[in-house]
Amino acid sequence: MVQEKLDDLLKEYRGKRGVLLEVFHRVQEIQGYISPQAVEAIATALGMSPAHVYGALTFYSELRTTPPPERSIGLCGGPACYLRGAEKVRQAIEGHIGVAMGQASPDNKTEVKWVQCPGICHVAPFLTVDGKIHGKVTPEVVPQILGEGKER
Amino acid sequence: MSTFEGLKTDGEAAWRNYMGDTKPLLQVGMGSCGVAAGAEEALAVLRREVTARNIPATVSITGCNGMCFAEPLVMVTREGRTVTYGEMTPERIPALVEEVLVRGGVWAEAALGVSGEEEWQGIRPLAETEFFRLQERRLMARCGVIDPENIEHNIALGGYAALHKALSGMTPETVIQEMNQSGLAGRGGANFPCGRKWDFLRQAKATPKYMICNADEGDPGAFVNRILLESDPHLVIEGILIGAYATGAEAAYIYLREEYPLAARRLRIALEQARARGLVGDNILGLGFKCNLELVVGAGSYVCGEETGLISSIQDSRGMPRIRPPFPAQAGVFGKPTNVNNVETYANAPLIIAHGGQWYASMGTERARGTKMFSISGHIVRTGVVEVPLGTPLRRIFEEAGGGVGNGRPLKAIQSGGPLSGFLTARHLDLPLEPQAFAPEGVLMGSGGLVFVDEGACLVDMVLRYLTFAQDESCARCTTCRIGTQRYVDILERITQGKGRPQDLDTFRWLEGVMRNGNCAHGQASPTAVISTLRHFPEEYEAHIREKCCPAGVCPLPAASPALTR
Repeated sequence: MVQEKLDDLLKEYRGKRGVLLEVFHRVQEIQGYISPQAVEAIATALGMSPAHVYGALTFYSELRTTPPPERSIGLCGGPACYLRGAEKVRQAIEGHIGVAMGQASPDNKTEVKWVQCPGICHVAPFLTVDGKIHGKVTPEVVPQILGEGKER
Repeated sequence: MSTFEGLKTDGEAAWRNYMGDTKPLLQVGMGSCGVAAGAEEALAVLRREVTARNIPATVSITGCNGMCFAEPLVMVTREGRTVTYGEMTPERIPALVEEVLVRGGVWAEAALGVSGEEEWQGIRPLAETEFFRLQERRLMARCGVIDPENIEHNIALGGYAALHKALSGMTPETVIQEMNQSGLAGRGGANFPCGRKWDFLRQAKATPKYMICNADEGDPGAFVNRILLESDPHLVIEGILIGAYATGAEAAYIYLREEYPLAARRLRIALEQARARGLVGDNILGLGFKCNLELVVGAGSYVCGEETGLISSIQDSRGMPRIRPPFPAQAGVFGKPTNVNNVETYANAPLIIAHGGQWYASMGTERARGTKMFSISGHIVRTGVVEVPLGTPLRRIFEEAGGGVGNGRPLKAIQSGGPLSGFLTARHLDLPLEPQAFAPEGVLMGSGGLVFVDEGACLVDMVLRYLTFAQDESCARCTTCRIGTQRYVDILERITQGKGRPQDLDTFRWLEGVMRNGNCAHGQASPTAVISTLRHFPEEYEAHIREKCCPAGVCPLPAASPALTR
């Protein structure tokens, strides 16, 4: 299923240049990440070496080379969020789910990461759960947003 | 009737119909700032209420007018008069419907202001409010006014008229003359004269030539480009096309950061609508000019905002900057001549072509012409985006538009220009907003991000965050940058833990000299946050290193010196 979708997708781009980022984004949409097999397939379709494709892939922080966690928690690392208490929110998140910033739980159920500032500084500090924004967060409301307790 | 006249007629008819003579128009501010404050839910409730109660009204969307602090915004237009309502959360929408649509009142208490110059039913003009009165809205004229997903609105309110003017009655040379006369300088932070840059590309011999719009607005705390792209994307597209015509470029890219998905959506819609109307592609407006325009979305790399990193990223490689020369005008995308400008730079071009370079140059100061957008955030009452004439005192932005710190603590510092710039003190509030006034203070005015910091913050800790960012985002090609940023982080971390040594400050200064050898601005300018705070806030470092205390009480150190408390 995934393989078929991937093959169909890559047909559109065969032999083109200036499309690698778009291909990465679309493969990640299908697979959730960019697998070693996908790297080979992309390389063949675009006429590049797998090393070149892998090199580009690993340059970008938003592209994944391993399967995504079930739940992704992001905390904004921008200055307005920092000034309005993001550090205490970080501690609350880590304490509540038992996963350190920048890490995923061992079963890959939940990850916590810093996200880049998207300039919605009026709701600082904010966190995201699977992309959904929760603004003006305090350490006290973190358990409520994240639901049940520690990841095993 | 020419192609453009046809579009203009259609656009005006659509706009008249939209604004409605009889039915009220309700627009929800749907920038990502609005969405973050609950605008999607507000829109859904509004639609439901209007349908359920069978109220004759048009419900629509608009972008952000810069008042992020009051999101979600709802603009209500009746008989040509628009009232802007703030903090229209889903819970307050039924009250708005009741007060304004059912009873036909104005709900003055919830109104932020009314359009026009006259007070109306106890509501003062929006233009006279503290947030607006210092502003000169040119780039933002349609932001928060039109539906950004409707090209007809843009055209009805003057969009693409400058492109038509250039294509139908100006040579590429005269377009560049007007740009030169305007004095427009690059808005991404480098402040290089735009007309001269375009002329480099025009004179380049190799073909094809490329026009690139840098929409990788990566500076934390800067979001002026986002507001434009989400609220009036066609203004930017029109500017890129004017640039392409002036330089002879047949292809163009917009390189947008991944963190702006709504801007990506709006740009895709805008490009599709522009292509369908013959404004992008072959034979634009039937006037024989060809330019294709593609959107490329990044994947979370700050250095792709550096032009050579951006070019490398577009051409399927790691987004690593490289040494210049050759400059993009000689060898850019796929080795071909290329021009890279920031979103806001391009957005100025339609204004200059429509009104003339001389008109444009009459705004601003002798050395910095035109208006500039600034995003204000941090310890400030009103977070948002303003557009002011260059040369406006920083103090007016902070006190009038921003409303000051607002929590009783005094202002300590101002961070301008993002992570490759530094910090100013409250004493600098009287600086005029022009790049030339910032440079002697050791910082950049930059691309428009202004972060205000109150006395409760520790600058050593904050600078550590900035250098950590610089280290994370270093592409690691140059040893000076890769290891230099690490050294800054290591030493700053040690200082915040009370293990600082007096000679650390000399190391900071020496290391800055080493990092100047980096190939790109990332390595060269990363130390600016440290060096500017050493200069303007030496007492913060002294306290941490000599007294082993953190006066702001942020670092894991005593808040006051042990020597003093003894």
